[in-house]
Amino acid sequence: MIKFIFKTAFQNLGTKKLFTFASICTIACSVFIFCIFFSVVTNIRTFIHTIETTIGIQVFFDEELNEEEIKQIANSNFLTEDVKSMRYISSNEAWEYFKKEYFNDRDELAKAFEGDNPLANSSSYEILLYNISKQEEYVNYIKTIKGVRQVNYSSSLINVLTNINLGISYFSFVLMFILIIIAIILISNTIAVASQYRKNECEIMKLIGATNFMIRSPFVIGGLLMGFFGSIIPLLVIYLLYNYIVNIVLEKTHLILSILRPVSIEYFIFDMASISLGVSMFVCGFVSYITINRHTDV
Amino acid sequence: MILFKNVNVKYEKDKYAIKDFSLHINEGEFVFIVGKTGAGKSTILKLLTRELKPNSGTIRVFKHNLDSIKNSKLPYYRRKLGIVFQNFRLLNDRSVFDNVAFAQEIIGVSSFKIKKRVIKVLNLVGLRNKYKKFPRELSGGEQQKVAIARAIINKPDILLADEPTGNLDEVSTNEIIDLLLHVNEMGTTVVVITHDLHLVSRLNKRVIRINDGNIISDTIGLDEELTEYINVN
Repeated sequence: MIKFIFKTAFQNLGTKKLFTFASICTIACSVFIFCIFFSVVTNIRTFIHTIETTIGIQVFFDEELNEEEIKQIANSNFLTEDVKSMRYISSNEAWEYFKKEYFNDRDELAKAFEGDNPLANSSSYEILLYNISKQEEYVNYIKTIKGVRQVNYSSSLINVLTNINLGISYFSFVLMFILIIIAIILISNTIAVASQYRKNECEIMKLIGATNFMIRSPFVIGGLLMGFFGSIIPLLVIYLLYNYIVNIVLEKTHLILSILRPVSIEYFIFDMASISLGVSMFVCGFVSYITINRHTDV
Repeated sequence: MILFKNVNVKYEKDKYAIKDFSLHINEGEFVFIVGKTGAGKSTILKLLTRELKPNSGTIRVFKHNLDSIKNSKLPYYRRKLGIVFQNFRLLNDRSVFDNVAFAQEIIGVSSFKIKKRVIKVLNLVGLRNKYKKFPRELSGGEQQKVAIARAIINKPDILLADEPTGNLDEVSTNEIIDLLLHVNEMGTTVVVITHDLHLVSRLNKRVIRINDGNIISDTIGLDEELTEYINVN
């Protein structure tokens, strides 16, 4: 029976090859666009997460406070349930880091400041939170503590990235919605044409005792197959294309690698493929089921 | 086995296809239903296949009450019927073998059993050597034999034939009738709907004559009026 259903399903799809091809292409376009946006959104989310976990809040203290007083203020006030870690950075450590980062170990530049630390009185605490969304609230709390002079944090960058992420999500949603509507119309037409073409066969089946399931399931399987092929093709294309683009990015942009490193496709391909296959097969199967129910009077 | 009791079917208001129709056909009978075009023959066939529901009255076939049978039970009832059409209704894009196997595939018989049974039934109708041919490559008589093979492969209790010789020459007509008689001898009840009185007159079988949706005569062989008509023509 399974063999018969699948054989008939393939025959149905072959009945009007152009309709089938158009339907699969439309589904493939929708899935392709979804995959592109999924990849971009995943990368932006990972980027935000990297910032959340590596770039923290930097707290500076009043200049007259010594190291012990600063540590006392931090230990008794900074540790809340939102804090993942905090680290004391002395003014010497800050200066060493600055020299390394900006003078790039060029001794002649560093010598100009020999015996002097321009960052004296710039001891600070670097604080990492569990959840970046609590940052604003936490910073406001820190600012109220006596002895705290200045608090630096990257709220604007996170906000920009979150907004880009949201914008891309909305845009992709609207685009995919339009494409899904087109796909639904095309799939429905393909199934309707196939059912008209096979009307005689359906009537004979009905009269010799085929159940509704036997008559209708080849059409539904046909829809599922369109959904499957319409997903698997763009997924393969995206897999190859993404790896190709990532390799180019890695070769050409050494400077920002540490933060902006593209996410490996293996990290999200399973989720992306599951959603693409699941949604497209469900939509195609459901549309086929509705269409064939309308076109066969059993 | 087949019982119609006071059955009425209306196509339009006050226009009956069959009116107060009662009929009883026993198991294993060979019955001709004859009548002019529009007499109600096809309506009877559609009632038996349950493509049509009566407006009133009772139709019983085996244990099934066709006026109240559930849609979910209908396929299982229809599997007890074999149907042969005037225009064969074969699947033109499938071979003779596939056309016959089709009837078994849709009821979920295994491929191995299907192969054995199809060969057996094609032997019976004399088309064993043409199993690879497509309907367009066969004569009308051969196509009708394929249709009969498809109708009997599921071993039906009743074979319904709607004008089975309508499009055939005399030689093919005789072959088809011989085949139907053979099927009947194997125990299947055969109901043949036809307007070919010459064919009916050659066989001494039960003949139910219908006109305007009513039974005019129910005799063995043609009734007097039709015999006279045949003799004149």
